[in-house]
Amino acid sequence: MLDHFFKPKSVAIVGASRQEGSVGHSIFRNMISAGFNGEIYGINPKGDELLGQPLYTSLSAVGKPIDLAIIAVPAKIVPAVMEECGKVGIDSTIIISAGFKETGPEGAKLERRVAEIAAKNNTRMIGPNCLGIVVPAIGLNGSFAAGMPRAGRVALISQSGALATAILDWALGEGLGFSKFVSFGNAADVGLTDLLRALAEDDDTKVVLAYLEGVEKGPEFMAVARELTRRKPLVVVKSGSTSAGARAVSSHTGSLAGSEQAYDAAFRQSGVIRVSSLEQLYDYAVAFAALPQPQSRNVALITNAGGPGIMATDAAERMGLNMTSLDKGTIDRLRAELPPASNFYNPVDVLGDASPERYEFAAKTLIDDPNVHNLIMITAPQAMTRIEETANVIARVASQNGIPIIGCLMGGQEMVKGAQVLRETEVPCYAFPERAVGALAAMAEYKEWQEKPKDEVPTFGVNREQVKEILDRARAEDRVNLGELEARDIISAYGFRVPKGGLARSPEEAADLAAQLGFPVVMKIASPDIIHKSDIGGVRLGINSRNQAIDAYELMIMRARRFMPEADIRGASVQEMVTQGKEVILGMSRDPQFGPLIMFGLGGIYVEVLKDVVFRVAPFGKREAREMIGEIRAYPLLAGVRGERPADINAIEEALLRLSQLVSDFPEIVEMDINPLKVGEPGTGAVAIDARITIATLRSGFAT
Amino acid sequence: MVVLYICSSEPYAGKSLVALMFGRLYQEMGLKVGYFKPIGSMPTKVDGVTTDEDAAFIAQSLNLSEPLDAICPVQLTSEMLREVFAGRPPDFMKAIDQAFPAVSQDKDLLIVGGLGSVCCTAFTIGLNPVSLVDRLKAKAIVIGKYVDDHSTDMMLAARMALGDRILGIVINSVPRNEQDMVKNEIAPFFEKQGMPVFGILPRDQILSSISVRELAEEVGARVLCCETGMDELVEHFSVGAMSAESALRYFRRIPNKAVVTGGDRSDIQLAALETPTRCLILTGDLQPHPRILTRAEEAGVPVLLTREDTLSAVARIERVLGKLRVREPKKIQRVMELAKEHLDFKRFDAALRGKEVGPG
Repeated sequence: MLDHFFKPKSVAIVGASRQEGSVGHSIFRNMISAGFNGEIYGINPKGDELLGQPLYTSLSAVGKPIDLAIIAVPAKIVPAVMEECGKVGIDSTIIISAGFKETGPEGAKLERRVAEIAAKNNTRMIGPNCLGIVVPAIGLNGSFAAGMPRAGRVALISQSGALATAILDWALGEGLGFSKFVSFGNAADVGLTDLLRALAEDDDTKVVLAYLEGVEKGPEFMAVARELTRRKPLVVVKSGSTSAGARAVSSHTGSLAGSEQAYDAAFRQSGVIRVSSLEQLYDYAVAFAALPQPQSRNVALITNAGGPGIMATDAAERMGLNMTSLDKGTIDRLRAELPPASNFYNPVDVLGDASPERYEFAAKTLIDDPNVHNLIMITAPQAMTRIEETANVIARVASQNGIPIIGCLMGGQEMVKGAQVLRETEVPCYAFPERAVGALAAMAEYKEWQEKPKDEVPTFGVNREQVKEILDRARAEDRVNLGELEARDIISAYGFRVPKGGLARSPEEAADLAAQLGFPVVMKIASPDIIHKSDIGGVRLGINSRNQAIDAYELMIMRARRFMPEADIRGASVQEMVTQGKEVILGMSRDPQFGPLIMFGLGGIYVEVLKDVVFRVAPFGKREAREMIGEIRAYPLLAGVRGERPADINAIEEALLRLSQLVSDFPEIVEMDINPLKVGEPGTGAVAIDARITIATLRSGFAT
Repeated sequence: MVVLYICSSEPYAGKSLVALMFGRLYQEMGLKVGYFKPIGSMPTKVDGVTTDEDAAFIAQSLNLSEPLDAICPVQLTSEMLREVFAGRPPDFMKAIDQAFPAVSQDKDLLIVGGLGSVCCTAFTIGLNPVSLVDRLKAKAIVIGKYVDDHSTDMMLAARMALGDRILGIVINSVPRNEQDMVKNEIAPFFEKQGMPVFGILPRDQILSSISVRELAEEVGARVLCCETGMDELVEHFSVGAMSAESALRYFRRIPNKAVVTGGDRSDIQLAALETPTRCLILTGDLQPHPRILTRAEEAGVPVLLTREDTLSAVARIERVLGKLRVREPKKIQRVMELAKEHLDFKRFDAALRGKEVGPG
């Protein structure tokens, strides 16, 4: 997959210009100076030679097979070059040139044309408007980034070219090695998911990093990421996480930023590790690339100073690592060898005068302890600290043992040489304990993800036809907001229990219906145009007699007419009143990128004021549904506190799964709420009291 | 020749709409139909002649060849009103009398478009509907705009003013869900009082919409892209000043809308393009990002750019919404569909010819 991009034997640079500082010139020079172990052909219509290499007047003039063409000519010439690629039989191209979709409708047209030519000739293409690719192991620098990083096990793909060069340049200084480096620009053909698929298969890559501003095909991304993360970690910086940032992304990429909740949910459902800064991206990359997988969250610390040890302990606790208890035997051995003032429990304090030998003894003793699955070795610069030798000790124990060991050389100036030692031996080394802990915590979490069983999506027996009929009717009438009764019919077709009741068109009908149902009843204004019913007095609970029903009906209609004169009022719905149970809310909003995003929370103030809600992208299975319920902060209220009976958690789980099935079956449903869902005691089930559904119009389409 | 004077319970009730309906229906019967609008209030220029916008439109729709300055002899401009305030009123009646022969000659039916409503028909300039109807020897019909069940009052006020000169009423703009009530309760109520109801016209989505082109004119906007979508009809408006996430939820609930937002709100613009939107109106003269235009082009949604700030743009749009005009072919076609479906033309025709027929 994408072999000619990553392992070409011959590369042509179209637009190899003699003009220094031009993009084509830089790429040609980079290709030569990186020491590419294959053929390099510079293409320039004027021919001649450049940097001691002959130039060819066209691709066809080369006369030999070309695996990869890197195109850096003005945008308007690109179609012609792509046609020539097709003619010569080049199946892989990288279009560096800018001046396409990012510049407006004209550029977009040009980009479509180029993509059509590529598709017609079966030519794959990365870009346009990108920085190119770098594969250090084969000396391929098909980019205009000057530096060439070491070969290593980290792959980096980036939507932003400039950001990628910055990371690359910085990695040069830090000595981080890369397997592949791709800036994919406008992604007119080869996009994020293609690259992820290729990198999942790539044996040289141990960890994949990505800088993303948005994801275009959400469901496909999730499927590909889920496969990839089963095999190797994927660490993503997704920018535009604030509303101002999202606006910036909108302008930059021209795609509507999906909601942050959707990204968070999609990432965690597909095992993607999301980081919020480039520093974190680097920290995790270093750890994942170098360390073996931890067995668990158990961590032990060795430190030569109390303060840093406590800081690291705090960080471990906060980030979900487990400060493990040490075996009695371990403690005894430490006590026998270390000075009496040392701390023999975790964190183990080897004191300020600790020699490299003392570090080594402590480290080996801890590693032998079966409870210790991760080790952080902290050194703060003190008068007697022999930093370089201590670093050598860390490097030695790290290389000899199968658990993740991280060095934390605290400070700057004093630590330069020690850090150098660890860098050269590829032991992750951080200047501060929080960063060390963060990297280990990410690794532990990733390990748990890999062990999670697949979440099978169940299928319930439902009445799909009935839902289709209701939706088709509304769409034929060009309505986007469904009435309450329609929404009710839809969810009950999908197996939700709904309160008994019906529509009353007059006060008398309301009274009759109420009497039939048995008091008390609930009355709600029936109008597809009134969404916030209670705002206009459109909901009355606890109606206890015929007279009250008549009064309630009349008042409700009067108020609705007065406050919403434009609304289509169809009467009032009269329902049995469900008094027992806890109220939860199920919601769905269709995210432009990821599709149905399902929300869950405890009703009332918990959702509205405390924003205590969780999200998942549908469809999902039992495991995710369970996790959702457990994740809200108010979960103990559902589980039962202070002698209260618990709620029927199984019923909530089933409701979430049925909703997931409904919104996956009907993409035209774009917004939906079941609010509240009343949940009884275990075994008694749940009742959907009210539902609201918004659909997409026929014209606007909905397959977004 | 019969003269039919069309007046209304309130301004913008649908006089021109009904004039167009009856005009076309009678033309289809083979009658020669003329149109006369004694007092114009929406001055415009057509081929160098100052005339009334509605008058010009109806003249064109009915293929009339009379000169526009005869079809609408008096333009009620501010300058003219100043003259009246200063005690130097022009002789309006004379101007009307002079134009009348030209528009009525060889006609079987002359439809006269009243000005404003019955209760505010140019009293300032010394004219009133009663004197006009009498002067033109016309029979009158009232167009009653239905707002809610209190609207009957305005309709009855019209009848009180004109008395027996009124043939009956056409009730316009009735919401779908109130049609049964109007038909079963209000119409019999009027009939009992001797006021025939010749039609109950529903509030119509197509008619109460405005084309993107008109909208662009109204807010003085430049069209940045997608000319092809300019004749699409807008039914709703939405101001994009919220967060992008709420915008999506909000925009999804409003079909066939124009979204008014700042040129710099890329997130809102993209959210709008994601939902049923007929045009973007960008305010503050802030050019959108090229990527937005690319996206709009893909979606076929025109992008309009105006110098107005969002608040004034909305104010201008709201103003135009209150007085919707039928101009586009799509709307004219719809008007005739409604006429055929909802007007009791036979009964009206008998009444106009002086053969009273009972409710049919």
